Amino acid sequence: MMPAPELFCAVSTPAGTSGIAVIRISGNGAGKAIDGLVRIIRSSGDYHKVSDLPGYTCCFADIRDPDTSVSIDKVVITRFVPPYSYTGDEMVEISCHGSVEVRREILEALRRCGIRSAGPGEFTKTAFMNGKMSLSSAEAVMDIISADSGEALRAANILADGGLADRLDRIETGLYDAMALIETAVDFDDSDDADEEGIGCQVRDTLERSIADLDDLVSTYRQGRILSEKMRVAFTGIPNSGKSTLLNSIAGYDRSIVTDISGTTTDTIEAIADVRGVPVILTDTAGIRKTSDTIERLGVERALNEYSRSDMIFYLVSPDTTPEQARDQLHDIRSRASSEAEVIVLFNKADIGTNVHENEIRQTASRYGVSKIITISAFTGANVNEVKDTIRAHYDNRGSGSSGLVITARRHYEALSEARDRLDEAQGVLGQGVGLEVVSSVIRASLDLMGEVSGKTVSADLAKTIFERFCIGK
Amino acid sequence: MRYEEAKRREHSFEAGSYDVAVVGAGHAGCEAAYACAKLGLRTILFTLHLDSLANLPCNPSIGGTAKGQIVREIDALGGIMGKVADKCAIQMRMLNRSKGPAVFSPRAQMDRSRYSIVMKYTLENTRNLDIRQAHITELLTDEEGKEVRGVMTEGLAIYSARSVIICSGTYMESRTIRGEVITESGPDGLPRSEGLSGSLASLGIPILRFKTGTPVRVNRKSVDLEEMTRQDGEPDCPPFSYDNEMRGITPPEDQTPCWSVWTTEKTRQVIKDNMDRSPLYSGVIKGIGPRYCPSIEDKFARFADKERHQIFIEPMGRDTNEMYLQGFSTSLPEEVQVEMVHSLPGLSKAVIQRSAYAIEYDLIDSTTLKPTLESRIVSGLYTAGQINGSSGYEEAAGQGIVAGINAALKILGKPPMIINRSQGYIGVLIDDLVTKGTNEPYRMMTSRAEYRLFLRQDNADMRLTPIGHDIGLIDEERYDLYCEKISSAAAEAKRLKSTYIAPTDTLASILAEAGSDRPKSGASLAELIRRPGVTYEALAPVDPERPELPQSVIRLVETDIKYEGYLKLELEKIGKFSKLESMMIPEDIDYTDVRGLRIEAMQKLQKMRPENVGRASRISGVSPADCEVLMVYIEQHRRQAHD
Repeated sequence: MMPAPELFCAVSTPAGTSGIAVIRISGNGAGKAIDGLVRIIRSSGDYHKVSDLPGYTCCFADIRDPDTSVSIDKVVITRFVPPYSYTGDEMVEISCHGSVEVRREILEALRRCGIRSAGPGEFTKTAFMNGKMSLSSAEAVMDIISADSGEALRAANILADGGLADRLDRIETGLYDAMALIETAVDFDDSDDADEEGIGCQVRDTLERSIADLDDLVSTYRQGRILSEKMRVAFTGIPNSGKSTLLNSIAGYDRSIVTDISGTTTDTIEAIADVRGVPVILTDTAGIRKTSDTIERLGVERALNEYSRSDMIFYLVSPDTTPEQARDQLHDIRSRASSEAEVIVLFNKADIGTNVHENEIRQTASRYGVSKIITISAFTGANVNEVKDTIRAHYDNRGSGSSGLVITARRHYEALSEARDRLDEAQGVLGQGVGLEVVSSVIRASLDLMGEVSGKTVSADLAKTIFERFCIGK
Repeated sequence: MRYEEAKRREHSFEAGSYDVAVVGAGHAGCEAAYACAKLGLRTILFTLHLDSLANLPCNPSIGGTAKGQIVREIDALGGIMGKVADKCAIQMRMLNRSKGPAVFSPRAQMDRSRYSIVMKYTLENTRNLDIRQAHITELLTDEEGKEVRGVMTEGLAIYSARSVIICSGTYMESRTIRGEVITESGPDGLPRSEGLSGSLASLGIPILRFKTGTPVRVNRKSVDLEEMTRQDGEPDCPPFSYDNEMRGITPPEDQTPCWSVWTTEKTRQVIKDNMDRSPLYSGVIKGIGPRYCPSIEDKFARFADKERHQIFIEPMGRDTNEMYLQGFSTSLPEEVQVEMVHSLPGLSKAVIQRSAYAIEYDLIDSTTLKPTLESRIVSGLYTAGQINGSSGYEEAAGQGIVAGINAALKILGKPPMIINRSQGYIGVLIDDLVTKGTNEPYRMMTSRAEYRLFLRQDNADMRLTPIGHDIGLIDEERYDLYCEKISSAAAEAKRLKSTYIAPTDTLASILAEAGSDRPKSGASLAELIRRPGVTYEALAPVDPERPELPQSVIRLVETDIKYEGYLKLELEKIGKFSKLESMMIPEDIDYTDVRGLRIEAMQKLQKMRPENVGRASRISGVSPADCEVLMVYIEQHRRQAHD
């Protein structure tokens, strides 16, 4: 039997900056692997499957969740055939919409088709190994791998600091104990510990517990991915409501040009900052107003896009903001933002004066599901700390709530999800009465996957557990 | 010692010239010598005592979980252990019958003295092989100490050899311990090996020290078997040797039973009262003992919550009353041993014939070896068995045949034979020893093998006989039998997958018997066999067309079908594994030159010098990214060589 080809993928456009994102898949059989996800809407020629698509042609397609068949996004798919692709193997490129949500759902769908995330420098390495790059580039390739793995290691260190390793260790320990029970019965038949039914019960309990624990762990990726992908926080409001000043105050340096002339910020301005330990991308969007200025209108369009991919949106109200402006803009935000996004209203310029319509605006805010209202002065810095706390609190609330331990790296998330699936399978095998040695082999596969995160190797740790737990001997 | 220096030594003399000299005629040495001689090399096998060749100084049995698989693998390669064991078995059993076929493990009680005699006689009748009783005290090398030239005996006889295989067992600088009594001796009161370990150390080979032990032997006449639980052999157990199996040779009809008892409260008390006299706890024993084979006092101390332990009483042979107390190894003083034995049911008046003892011995650091078991420090020097840190007769023999074959292949100018982790327990064993090393006597267990569903006792021939045939250890006649077996198994597997059975009442009642539901429509025989509880035999009434096939073929086909889904997963993993194993690292690689390696990985790789990327990946401290970097470097190297 031939082993299944190794397929891997990655988003090859920078995180969160473009309207369109490109996801690349490499490996022979890439087209066939995603056939089940894709419904081709239009292509040159009458093709119904990605795997039938001739090389270097595109199709317009619907990409769907493999389980529910619910559409995720409309995308453009291009297929490349060996040897004429970047890596030299078959490749498929999916151009999808750039929102974080869409990218994540597509990656998740690919994972479930057995396409894993690329390792550090893997595309470039594969290209080199397939002779697609000149000999002189070898050292550059090695540099890329070690730099990228350094990056991954730093992500893993965040994990170790978070105590996630301890939690994973507890799950592993439980499973090692369960396996040791089976293995002792298998390897030391003469011992009186072999009570297959009793072992089956104990193993079942451990599996149930481990699956629940892993589920819990896997769910922390919702929060953890922020540590690797960063949380997007948008500041918006009418021109001259003090967005740039607030952004600079939070980011700690002058990222955007701050003047008194309204409409200075015509583009989406980004700053990367660390707010109370949370890595964030702060965006300062163009103030919305009816305008005839083309450049400014483009900026308005960008702001609307920005709402859709932000995790938090701060709407700034200055003393000049009218209740109508507030209502229109909160309506825009709520209709564009994802359901997970949190919207907060800031009454700014408290140092200058109050908004005479404050009560009316507060009522509007509560109608649009605003979670919090704070009165600040970006200029004097009054209550800016509370804004920072709110950002941190949003991050904290995303977690599973238990002890603030999170998975940060996509590869870890994938390995642990897969490990959980294997345990499900082990439970199925246990129910069929196929034999404990098969159950053990499936648990081993699961532990192998966890080992990719924890660095443990099954053979060594299992032997240790057996010897510690059981009195065996000839 | 330098070869030239030995020659200049007063009274030294040249006693002979061989291709291969094997030092030590235990289970490793016998396999190694037999393989070399069979491959046409002039071979000499040295033993400290000719009457103790292939001795079984601990339990009188061969096989067991994982170990039985190793014996099958040795036989599949063309080795000798399985055949001798089949001749000397007085009881055979297949362990783990209640579990799945992946972990079935053959085990046999041996007639201990007969085993030694049959092995000696077989080797004496092997062409190209001389056997010599002598005490080897020096390994001889070239002037630089980098290449083997031969060995020298205590009597100053110089034997020149192109390769030397040392299989010193537990004999190097060994001492036995019973309580306060320490004796400079080998196992079983045999002479120990002196000087050789120092000779190896002087060449820069790191020496370690381990400990193991053995229980008392009692006279059958003095025990009351009525008070014990009887355990009989299985008449239909397949033999160890595939050759015997294919020729229909089965184990003996009249098998000897074994017996078992449980320790009593008195046993526990005696041990507790005398713990202060245990050399393990008083600090007399410095060697590291195995965790899996603890002495009885160790069991009581470490597992205090366990009130009793099971002891097996095994006959030592047909022509002796001696019986072995498995699970009762101890290093407590002799007088305490008597009290301990008398506390056991049925043994209250037992007469002890041999005392239990612990034994300490010298060995080498196995991480200085290549996977061929050749030393990376001295070219042409091979080691196998307990000298490499393993434990057990089967583990020793498995290394012996690999060392023997590779020593021969090197002299013959042929590429080496490496059995990898996906090909056999022997591969797992050697890879663990040379890649990870061991800090206690290493015993094979099925859980050490990551491809356990594939590494079975029923398919060792499929995994290894073609290799044995290529090398020249499997003759044409046997190979033809093997090919016949494989093709009939393939034909039967095909038939089972393509023969559909209607859902008749007969079928339903067969399935109901196995606790399985009535199929809705017709199903192939293979689909039916895949159901838990349903066997090939049970389906006979609905499968009248089935051909007459030997049990071994039926079991093979049935197991492959039952495990198919899980085997597929395992084979996928093996595919990934093989890809890395086949990526060879240039021998002259300078790791300081590889950009992007982390320092820890660079140092480890520089020290261990793995042959391929797969092995590199298993060295602790080498990360997946380091391996990726290494692969790119190798490709760069390869292309430069082409340009």
